[in-house]
Amino acid sequence: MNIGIINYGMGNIQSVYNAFKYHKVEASVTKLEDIEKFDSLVLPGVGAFKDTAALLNPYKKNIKRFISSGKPFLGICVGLQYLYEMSFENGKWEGLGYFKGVVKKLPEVKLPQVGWNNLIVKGKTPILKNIPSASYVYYINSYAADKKNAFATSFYGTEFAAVVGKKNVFGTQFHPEKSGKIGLKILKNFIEVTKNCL
Amino acid sequence: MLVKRIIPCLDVDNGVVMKGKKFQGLNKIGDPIELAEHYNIQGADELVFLDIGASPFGRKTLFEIVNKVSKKVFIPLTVGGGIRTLENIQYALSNGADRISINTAAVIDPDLIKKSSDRFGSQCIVCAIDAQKDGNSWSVLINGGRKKTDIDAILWAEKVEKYGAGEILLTSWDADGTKKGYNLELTQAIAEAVNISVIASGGAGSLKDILDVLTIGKADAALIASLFHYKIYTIEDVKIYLKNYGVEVR
Repeated sequence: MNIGIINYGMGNIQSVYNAFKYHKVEASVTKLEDIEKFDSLVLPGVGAFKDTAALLNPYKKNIKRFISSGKPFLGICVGLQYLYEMSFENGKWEGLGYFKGVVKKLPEVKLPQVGWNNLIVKGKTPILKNIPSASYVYYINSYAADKKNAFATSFYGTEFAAVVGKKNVFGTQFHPEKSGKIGLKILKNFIEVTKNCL
Repeated sequence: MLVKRIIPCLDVDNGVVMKGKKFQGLNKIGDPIELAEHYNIQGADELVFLDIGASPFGRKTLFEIVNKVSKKVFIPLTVGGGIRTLENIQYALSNGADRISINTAAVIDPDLIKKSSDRFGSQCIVCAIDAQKDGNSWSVLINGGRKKTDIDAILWAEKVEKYGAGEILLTSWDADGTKKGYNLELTQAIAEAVNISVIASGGAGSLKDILDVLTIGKADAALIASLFHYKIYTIEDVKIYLKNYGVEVR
């Protein structure tokens, strides 16, 4: 099994790598040019949407081709947000458009949201297997996608998308690689999804 | 809902966790990697590592420690102490740190906050503020509390927010190591002045002190060293107490 972690110059790649390693899975850090060969991909993210999109948009075709091959794909934080049509973070920026909807600022005074917030599980998806509702996960974000069609949400000023999924594509707004045991379990679920697709 | 955080703080000098009073008079506590794992199992919400030796050699040692911790402990790791440049930050991040705490270097050159939050994102930059009572206000201290400035702590907090800091780690120099309680007045004043979250540090001596700083002091997180290092309370003790008083924790 060969899981690729996309290195596009942003994102906490090392932590994601360490979390897979914890599960005895040796993931590979990959450039966007080389994503095709992997069995599944993780798009990590920290930082601003604009910078992320600027680095990723030239490779939209590669990402779309990978996704349409049916292989599992997981976006984390800004990596999830990028899967949407648009973000309104300091302007108006185009994303991949795999999920319908936009990314907006959370309507709360204190931003970014920093810390542990609980999941409200709304539906079944393989990456939430054995994750009970009300589990705490670690967030650090000021923007989020609409709760519509989310498999789990959290509340900060509003209810927003915490876990999304459609076919082979998944996203978490929180950082599973920093969410203790629960986060490790979610990444383990992603490993299982990858295995089942081999 | 977003809950309050309990954050053990590991002051590290040449690879050993130390604890002192008013930034001086240090006692050896133990091995940082073992302590980090121990606190993680106990339910720490995050870990803060501060290099208190502030020598280039000590800093390198700390980065090696954080690197090892990041392979075993999957909660946010904040690293600080003597970080002065974007290169220092990049190096810390590549060694498994999630967030970087900057203090003296930001006071000397506030643009560092701007530059670093632009490059690595606000979520990554924690501004540490050491404050000391000065008449009717509080002044910012630098160089690990050794040098006083004439900068007002509240105005400085507002400025670091404007410059892009994602969070403030506020230490009361007057309360630090005294175990007589956090400086509630200072913490509340800063927490109300800014719209970013505030980690309160310095002075925790009892469970009630922690409750007070998270409620009256309006802090979002409590940094704790002595109480945990000297095994007076476990993180679980703190969390059970807080829950009993209606403060939500993980």
